[in-house]
Amino acid sequence: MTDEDLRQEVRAFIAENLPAEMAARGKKMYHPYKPDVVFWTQKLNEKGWSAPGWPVEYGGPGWTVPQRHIFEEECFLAGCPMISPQGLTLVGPIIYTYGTQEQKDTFLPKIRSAEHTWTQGFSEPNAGSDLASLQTRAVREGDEYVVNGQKIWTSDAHSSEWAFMLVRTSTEGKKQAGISFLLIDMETPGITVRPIISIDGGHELNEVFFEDVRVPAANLVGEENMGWTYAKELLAEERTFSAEVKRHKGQLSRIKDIARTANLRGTPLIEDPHFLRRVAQLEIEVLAHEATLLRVVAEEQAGILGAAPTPSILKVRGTELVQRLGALMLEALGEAGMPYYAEKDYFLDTPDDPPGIPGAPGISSDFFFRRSLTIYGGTNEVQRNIIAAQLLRG
Amino acid sequence: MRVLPNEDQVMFRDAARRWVEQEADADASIADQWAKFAELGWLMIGLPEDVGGLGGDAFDAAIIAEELGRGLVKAPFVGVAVTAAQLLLAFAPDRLEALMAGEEKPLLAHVEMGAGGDPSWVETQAVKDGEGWRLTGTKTAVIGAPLADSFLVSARTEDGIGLFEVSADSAKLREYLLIDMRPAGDLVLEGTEAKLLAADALGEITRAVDFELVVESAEAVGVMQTAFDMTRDYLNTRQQYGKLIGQFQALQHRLADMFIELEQARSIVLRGLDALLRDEADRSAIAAATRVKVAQAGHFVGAQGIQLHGGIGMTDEFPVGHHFRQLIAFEMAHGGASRQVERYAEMMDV
Ligand SMILES: Cc1cc2nc3c(=O)[nH]c(=O)nc-3n(C[C@H](O)[C@H](O)[C@H](O)COP(=O)(O)OP(=O)(O)OC[C@H]3O[C@@H](n4cnc5c(N)ncnc54)[C@H](O)[C@@H]3O)c2cc1C
Repeated sequence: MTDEDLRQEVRAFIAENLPAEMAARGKKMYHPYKPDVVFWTQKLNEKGWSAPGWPVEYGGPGWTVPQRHIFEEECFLAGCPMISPQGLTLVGPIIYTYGTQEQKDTFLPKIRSAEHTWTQGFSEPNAGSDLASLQTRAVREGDEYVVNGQKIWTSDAHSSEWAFMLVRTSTEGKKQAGISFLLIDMETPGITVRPIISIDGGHELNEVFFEDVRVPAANLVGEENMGWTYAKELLAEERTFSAEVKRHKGQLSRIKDIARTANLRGTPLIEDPHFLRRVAQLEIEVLAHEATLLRVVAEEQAGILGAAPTPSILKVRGTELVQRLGALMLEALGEAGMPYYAEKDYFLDTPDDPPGIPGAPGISSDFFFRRSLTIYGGTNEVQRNIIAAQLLRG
Repeated sequence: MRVLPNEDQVMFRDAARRWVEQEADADASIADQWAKFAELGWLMIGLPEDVGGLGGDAFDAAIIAEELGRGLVKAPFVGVAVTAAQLLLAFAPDRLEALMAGEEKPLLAHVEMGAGGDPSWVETQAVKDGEGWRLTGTKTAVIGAPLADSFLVSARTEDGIGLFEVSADSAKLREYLLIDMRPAGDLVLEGTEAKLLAADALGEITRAVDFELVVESAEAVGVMQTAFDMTRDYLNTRQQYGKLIGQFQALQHRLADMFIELEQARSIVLRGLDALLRDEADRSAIAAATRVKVAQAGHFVGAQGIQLHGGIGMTDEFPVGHHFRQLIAFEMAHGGASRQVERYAEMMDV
């Protein structure tokens, strides 16, 4: 199958299966809405597409990396709910690479079917950029671990069935060496989830407290004290998917949609040469960035290990472009972007007699929340440190 | 260019800072705060003595605005005590007494969707109806609108752009919060009754808008200053990798860049105030320039304020994000900063 065939097939599948109101909700770009995510993941699962990127033996569709990018781009542009990334791209690969047969059999099918969605419990109040200094303790007692401590910034903890965590199992030696990778059922007694409201007014983040939480030792992934190594290796595997190219394309297309409806002094904004120049400038940036991504993917496939710190380059440029495009979206809206379109009022419904223009809800919320792109997944300062360190090593 | 405040201005600034730091309670009603503004003389500070004001000018008003900006005070000080007050000064000076006493809160309702910061873009229509007038059109993003008791509304007549007064009771207001949680609204005029204040008002409206562009910029400098202060303090508190994050050179340089932007913004506000006071041909161009520079600096300082705080900066509980939201609302108003660059290009000497 050619890439173009796949693109057409994905489009046709979406056209046939994605309910219009769900697509409309997806395009507003508020926080993930669990009922939609579950519905859509199940649909994809029936088709065998809910685990793109996974090996065929674990239920993946067997796509190449470029094909997976095509799939994700089409889904994003059409407003499909996003498959929960914690299960799909973070814990899933860890489980099929390092997990026991039992763990694979138990968890992988349920990730594919969205019966389980997952939350990532890595960061702590005093372990952000310096993640390895995490303190949440897991002490072995018989065939259980007893977990005590606190996680923070735990996305979707309030709506997830399971958590994958980095916990401290040893205080000896280097701090990286005493960390283990543990899977915890969020229903286990002793877990308290407290919401954190973010600057866009939405709820995705949480604090999670663990008090004498008893976890079967069978939920340890791989070997004790090896968690840091697993987490690091697999985060690197995801290098090309933090490039955000699908999001850039979605933003560019929405900017143009808005500019076709918005007026500037009585003429459609899309005809304003000053505005078009600003769109063009960012579209050029996106072209260069996408070409970088394609280059990296091709080099990887050919087994050429580039000397450049490519994952960090893709992350830095990709996230910063999302933020710049977000600002341009607000600019396109003009005054119509100034009202606060609260998620609770505008996600499932639209109030009577709303201000602004129809495409406006969600854009400023997304803009504000996307400030976090340069903070999570390794802050952009830390990424630049990595780039420089790697280049100077010579 | 006036740079240094005089003794009286320093006193007002210190009093305003004290009030913002110690008394301005985010939960207090704006009505209560307004009474305080009147009592402290802030509503008359920028008005001449012959109409009962304190004899100050935009420079004085900017001092108060900056302090209110530091504390994200939501009451529409600039809208009433500067923009509307300047228009009443031109067309109905007898009305200022009630404004200065805090009894009346008029607001200018002028901007229409798609005006792109052009003060002459008015599509609202006025037609004569007996002794009075009737207006039809929509005015948008009127900051503080739910608190106003009357609106000064621009509308087109056969003879040009006039200024009218519409009482809040007779007009339909579509209320909402702005992205920074300030109350605002659209004034929806559907043959709404109005009183004519001036038949040929575009010149004075443009002047009042220039005042707003500049004095709101002073307010935004206050918003930025607090975001900067919080960030500097955080670099001196937060530890990662066993040291203060302020020891990382990348963050030191960012903080320095934030400070440079803040200082540029503070300076151009003085330049903008100077243009208002001289009231010469370049007034509107310099007002636009002030707006642009402050908006761009504000976007950078606010965004980096969040960035340097890490996850904490993303929370609604921690204030740096609130400052960013207000700076973005500031950037978007009046057509947005990019449109103000274009306005400047249209007006500058070539
Ligand atoms: C929206 C959002 C979602 C998240 N989701 C999750 C999740 O699901 N699970 C999870 O475990 N975590 C999650 N995180 C946490 C995220 O990984 C951390 O916020 C991140 O690692 C930064 O840590 P911190 O917030 O403690 O900031 P800090 O590490 O305290 O950083 C503060 C500032 O210091 C800078 N800094 C730190 N070290 C250096 C250095 N060496 N050189 C230069 N600058 C430095 C940073 O770049 C930043 O600007 C999420 C965060 C956000 C904002």
